[in-house]
Amino acid sequence: MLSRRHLILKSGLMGAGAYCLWNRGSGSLASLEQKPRFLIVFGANGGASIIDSFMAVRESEAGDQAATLNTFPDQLVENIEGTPFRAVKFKGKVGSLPIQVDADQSGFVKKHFQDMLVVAQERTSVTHQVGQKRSLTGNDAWKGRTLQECVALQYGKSLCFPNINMATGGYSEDGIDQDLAAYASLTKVSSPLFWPLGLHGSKGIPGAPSQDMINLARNLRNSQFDPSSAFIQSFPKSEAIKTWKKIREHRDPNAGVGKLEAQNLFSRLGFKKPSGLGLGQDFSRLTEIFSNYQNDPIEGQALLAVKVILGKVCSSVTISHGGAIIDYKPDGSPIIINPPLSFDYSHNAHRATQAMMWQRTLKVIDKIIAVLKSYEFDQQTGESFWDRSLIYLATDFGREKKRPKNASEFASSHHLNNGVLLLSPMLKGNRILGGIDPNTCLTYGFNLNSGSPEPHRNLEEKELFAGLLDIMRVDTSGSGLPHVPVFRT
Amino acid sequence: MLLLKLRPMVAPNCTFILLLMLLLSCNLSSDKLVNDKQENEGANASISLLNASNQQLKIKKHQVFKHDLAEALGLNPEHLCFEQEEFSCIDDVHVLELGGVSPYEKGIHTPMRKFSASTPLIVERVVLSACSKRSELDLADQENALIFRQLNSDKLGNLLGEQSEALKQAVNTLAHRSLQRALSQSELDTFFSLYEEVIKKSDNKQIYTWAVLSCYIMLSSLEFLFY
Repeated sequence: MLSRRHLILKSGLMGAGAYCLWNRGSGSLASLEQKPRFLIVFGANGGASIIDSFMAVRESEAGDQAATLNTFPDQLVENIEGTPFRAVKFKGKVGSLPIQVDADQSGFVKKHFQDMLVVAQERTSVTHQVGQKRSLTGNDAWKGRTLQECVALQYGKSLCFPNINMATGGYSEDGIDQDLAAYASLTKVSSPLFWPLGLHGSKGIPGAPSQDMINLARNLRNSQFDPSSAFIQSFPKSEAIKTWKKIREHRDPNAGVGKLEAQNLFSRLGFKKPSGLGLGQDFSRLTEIFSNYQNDPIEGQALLAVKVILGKVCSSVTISHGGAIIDYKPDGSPIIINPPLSFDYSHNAHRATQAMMWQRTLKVIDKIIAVLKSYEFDQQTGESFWDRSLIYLATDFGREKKRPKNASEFASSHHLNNGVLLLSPMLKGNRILGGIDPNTCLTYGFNLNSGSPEPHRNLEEKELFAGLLDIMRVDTSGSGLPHVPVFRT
Repeated sequence: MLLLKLRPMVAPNCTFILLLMLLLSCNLSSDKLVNDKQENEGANASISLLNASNQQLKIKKHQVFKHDLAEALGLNPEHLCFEQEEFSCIDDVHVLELGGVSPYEKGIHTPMRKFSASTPLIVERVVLSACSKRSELDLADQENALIFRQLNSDKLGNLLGEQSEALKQAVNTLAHRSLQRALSQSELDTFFSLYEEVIKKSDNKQIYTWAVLSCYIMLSSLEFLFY
């Protein structure tokens, strides 16, 4: 059944007015659109291998090299009808860890193939932290800014926290552009479950006087006590003081801390019920979807990610897998939710780790999409939040393509060659850009304008960076970035 | 005269301080003296200020903030503030926003480059929590009170008259513990104004409210937070 939103989308009316505002000259876009778009960067920590998922190779396709390449028994790789994608099935144990994996990627592909774009790519580093950061900056393609900063610059000026980052390692790093507008800098979140508590100066603090009294004290501090301090008078040009005062002393409820308190983000985004306070927006429904949010950090991060998008608090949000996560059954026995090092546990048990981590990743992405699809972003156009969102599954690098002869499980090292998964209604989906040579399991690139495969070309990091910004309609005028329209046309 | 504030709780660096004193004594000249009007005010009556040649102040991050706050209030640094009555505000829940790092749990080795929009609010939460604890302790046991002594709630209305000395002593004690100096008359007036407003607008627990908010003003002030 088609909803009103889908009818509008199918009829091509969506955003027609807004689209006319775009200046397509010289491969860049004018910064005329005011409605935010949302970037979700999902850091697949440790190397999510594309040949262990949507570009998997069967043993029968790899000729003489099949036994020593990372190819799968034919029956474990399914071609999904009507799509260029493959899906891997795997059952087994993750090395010496007490984890039994039963993974099947086909359900995800069948559900989301229209919004899926797989892009073959060659990286420039096999060092985790470096690879992670370059996946965000395109190897310093544009003044060293991260994708998230670029999106925040474009859409985030009026938002409370344009660039929220809950990730780890290189996925949590700032860009290096010293001239970046302050509002686009990332906001690091220590704890997704408790971060909203820090969005109010007194709610939930035992023994705190009333808000009126606190406002009175704030006013006396800002207008009398601080200005009379001899110490502060000695530093009239301190940038740190100026910045602090700018954030702190805004009386305008639409700016500074006043904005945060006035918007009641403390309660709207909160997860746990502070005594005497209301629950967060749609708390019960969202926590049913991200049911393990208290025990599994990636579910907790994803839950906050959808909340800050639905609340129009940010334009870019970053989440990532981290280290080992152990939960306990009611009988006290441990369950390993996430293996040590996430995808990088492939050093110990490649095939099972990749299967387990892809399964975990796709499951969370599926939930994020489900939530964003179910909320309307714009009544006039009928767009859902998902219609204006892009999920970029960033990863450190690829994994080694070889294996010991006929080994069904093996260890893998890092490799430059790989591919990434993008999901969004804003791109032209159901495609793989580039291809794979079954005799080497190495991926290759494509023409940046037509998208046709080019076996002797590899997609560079800056080209992926440019293509992602193109999907997000970020104004790249003067950046010197290549024009990469092929992701959405 | 020069007001030179030695702040032993903040990264004491004797070499730096000696160097600073030497430089200041050499370079002090009349054209650098500012804020002459301070000379006629309260405790700072004879003090003029140097417009510091190096204007780079830093905010106290994470551990320094925790240490100084605990020292000022005579509280255990591990018990200053908890979210949900369980999780440490400073070391756990808001560690990154307060300029800390999380190398083991999150692989974050460098602090945030710029203030988060929520950092001032988080600082206020922590200060408010710690001030509430100190005020409760002091007012519950006046004989052993550390800061808020001789504040008799029976003589509430007369506090500015009869007990103004007690009020002054409380905030000066706090100023000595937190800012390492006495308050000027204009600063004392801030706390008297606060008291008048609290009496006027608050229905109950006026002494407690005044104590918490006085502490809150001083320990979330720029002078306490920056060095």
